[in-house]
Amino acid sequence: MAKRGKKEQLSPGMSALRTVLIAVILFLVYAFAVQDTQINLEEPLDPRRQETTIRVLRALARPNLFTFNEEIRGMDINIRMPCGDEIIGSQVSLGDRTTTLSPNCVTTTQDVLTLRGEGFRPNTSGIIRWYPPGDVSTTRALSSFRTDGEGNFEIEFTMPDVRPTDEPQRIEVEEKWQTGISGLSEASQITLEKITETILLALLATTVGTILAIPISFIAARNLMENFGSPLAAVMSAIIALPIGYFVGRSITNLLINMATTELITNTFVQLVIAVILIIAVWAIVQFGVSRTADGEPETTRDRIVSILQFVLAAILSIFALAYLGQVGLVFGGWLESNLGFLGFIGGFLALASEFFLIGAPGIIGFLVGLVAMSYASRFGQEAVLGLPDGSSRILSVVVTGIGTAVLVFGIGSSLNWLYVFDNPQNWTIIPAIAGGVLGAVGTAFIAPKRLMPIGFITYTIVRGILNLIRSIEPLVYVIAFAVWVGIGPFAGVMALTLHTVAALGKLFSEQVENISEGPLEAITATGANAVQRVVFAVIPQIVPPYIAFTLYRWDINVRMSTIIGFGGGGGIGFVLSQAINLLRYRDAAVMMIAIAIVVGTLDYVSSRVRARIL
Amino acid sequence: MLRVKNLSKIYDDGTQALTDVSFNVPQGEFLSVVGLSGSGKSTLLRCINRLIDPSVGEIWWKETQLSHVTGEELRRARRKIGMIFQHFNLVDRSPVITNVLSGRLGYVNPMASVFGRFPASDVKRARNNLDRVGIGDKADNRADELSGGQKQRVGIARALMQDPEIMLADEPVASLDPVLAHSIMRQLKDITKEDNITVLCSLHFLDLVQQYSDRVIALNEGKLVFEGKPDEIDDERFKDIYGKEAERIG
Ligand SMILES: Nc1ncnc2c1ncn2[C@@H]1O[C@H](COP(=O)(O)OP(=O)(O)OP(=O)(O)O)[C@@H](O)[C@H]1O
Ligand SMILES: [Mg+2]
Repeated sequence: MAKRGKKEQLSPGMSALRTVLIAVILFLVYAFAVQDTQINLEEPLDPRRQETTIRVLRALARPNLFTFNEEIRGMDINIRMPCGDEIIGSQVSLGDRTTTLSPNCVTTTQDVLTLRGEGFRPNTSGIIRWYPPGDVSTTRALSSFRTDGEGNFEIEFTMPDVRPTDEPQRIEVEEKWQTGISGLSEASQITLEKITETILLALLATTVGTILAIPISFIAARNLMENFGSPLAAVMSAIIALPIGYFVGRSITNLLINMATTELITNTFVQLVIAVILIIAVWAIVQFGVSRTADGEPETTRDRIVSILQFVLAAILSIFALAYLGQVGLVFGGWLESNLGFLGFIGGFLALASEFFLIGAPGIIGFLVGLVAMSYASRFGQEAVLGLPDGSSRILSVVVTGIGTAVLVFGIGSSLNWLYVFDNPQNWTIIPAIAGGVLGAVGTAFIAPKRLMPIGFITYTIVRGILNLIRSIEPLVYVIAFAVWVGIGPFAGVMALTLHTVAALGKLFSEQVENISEGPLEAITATGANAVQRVVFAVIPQIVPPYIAFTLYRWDINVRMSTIIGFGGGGGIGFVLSQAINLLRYRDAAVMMIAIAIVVGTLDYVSSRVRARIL
Repeated sequence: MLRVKNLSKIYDDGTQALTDVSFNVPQGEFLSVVGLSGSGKSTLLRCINRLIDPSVGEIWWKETQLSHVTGEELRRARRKIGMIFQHFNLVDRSPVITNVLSGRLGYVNPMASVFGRFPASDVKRARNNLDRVGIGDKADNRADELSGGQKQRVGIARALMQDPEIMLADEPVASLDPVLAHSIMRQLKDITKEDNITVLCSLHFLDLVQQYSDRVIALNEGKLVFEGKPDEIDDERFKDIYGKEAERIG
């Protein structure tokens, strides 16, 4: 309000001066912009460039969509070399067609001949050929013609060579026209294949990206995160627990998979049976767990330990089962691939998924175990610090923070060392870790151990920052990096698009979470629900429509991006389009551009319709 | 017995919403909280189930210090405190039955509930509670298909699922017409009396206060200015509670 008032008080003179000043500044900015972007008139008006441009445009205007059936009709006329004494013309008729050649002989390659045709097919192109004597395999093109509306033409030409003979030599006048489409051109076929690849590339990137973006969006939503506070000791326990959990989880998974893949049981059928039995066992354990705890009796410590043991047992058996299934999948997938004909890709997928599990499981499960360990450690740390008397909780806090800081610094130092390969790594890892740990411990001695740290807000800020950073770089840049890693092709494209999708959707989604109405969330919180239950019961029902809408919107963007991602080595239609342009095959390029326009346009329309209906 | 001792709340932006408020509520009592808009009624109720953290003071329910529990203990304390809201705060896109069942979230197995599985006994109770508030036939409708009065009944049913010992009601009838307001208040009163639930209910209309509450406390600018029987609010008392403000507006 106050600011407005001030503005209105500006005197008319001042106000005019300000307007002029703004105008001058704008003028300068635009003038410099024009110079800086090298806008000029000479280049575009240069006749040579214009000619090229027109040629390209005309090629683009005639996309090379189809192959055609052609009909050819020829007739012969004789020519003499060299000319005799008397120089005359000659005329040949065949059906309705009459051809006149005058003169009907040449002596030098400079002699101009005139060929006239009457009664040909109207508006048809053709060529004139010479059959050099004694040379059966080759013909020489002399000229081409196009008949007018009445089927007449007249052209002048010279002979490229003169080979004297006694006999007259043969010249052929051939008309050629298209009677119908015989099929798709090669360019069209490639386009179809590649545009399918493009759509699937976008589909995969959108699907994987969305799945990853959903959990991230909750962490990046301010309203869900900012109320999470933990005592420092709890935060630090979580930091210590992450690497421990990761290594334990990874080692156990590795061990289990190794046990399952030993030579002991190599029969695929037996492996399958074992896997099925294990899955049934897991199911039974889970059922038992649910029925035991669902009656709402207050949990005792014994109950909690039993649940944890159950969970661990179920997890171990699941990994076992999956390891056996993975082996079965490898064998079965390979078999399908070689026996299913054109559906072999199903087997390929099965084998790939199995391989992915067998290779990736230790890392992924290790990470998950790390997260679980983090959550338990932080809960345990919190209960301990808040439950103990002040003195002991301060000691606990100091010890845990010292170790936690050391772990954190060691982690950061090791990453730096990995990246830069320092000469004496201990200067970057162990020494700073010890120093940091001591500093952290000493620092902690001076703060209240039970004070809550805004760990939720810090996490939110970091995750948002990372998302913004990733989002600000275009997929076309990422694809160059991924092409180095996984090779040029659609796989690199999928990875580049997925990365960008996670960041972009993570941000859009989290903004939707921030826009939900607080009331239901408050009500669910008031029932004593935990964080996960709050998300599932109060947040998710509210965000389903916008999430679907944004996912569609993103799929739309991803299709558009995947059409150009090939320019950076990411496969799909962009790759062949860039090739066609580089080889100056503009008529092929035109086909691809049409395909892109159709696909992008259709998707745009469909997704906007569906979105309008959902929102 | 609910005991509030020297409770103060200062919001992060410096607003002093409550100043040194102390009072007791015996078990099973229906206590109304009155006061002008902005006097701190919502803040007071939300401090009790810790949707807001008090700045100073203590809140005790039986042996639990509500004002200082955290983590698991806080969740366990909350599940015994039902709450209903002026704007109902139902999850609009979920079915009525899911809204009611969510009152059990503090009790059930978290993993099972996340996958939408509730014990059969809870589902049965949810239907019973819907019958009890008179909208048993709406169980499978989406919550946003209901009228305001029906929504508040769902809100009550949801709170009842918690087996509450305390019920917090923040202007439960302020968005409803007078006839409906009386019907909801009557229902709230009857049910809580039947189940011996302690009620703290903020209200704007004195006729509702006088008709339904056992006792009243009044807040003015965050301070407790009156505590007593509803019929003790005579003209003079009314001025104590609302007068100063009225003068300032007028
Ligand atoms: N989240 C918040 N942050 C800062 N100040 C707040 C917040 N919530 C409420 N207040 C302030 O605290 C004071 C008390 O608000 P409160 O909502 O408790 O009043 P109320 O009595 O419930 O009012 P009403 O009858 O309008 O609901 C008001 O001055 C309000 O502006
Ligand atoms: Mg209020």
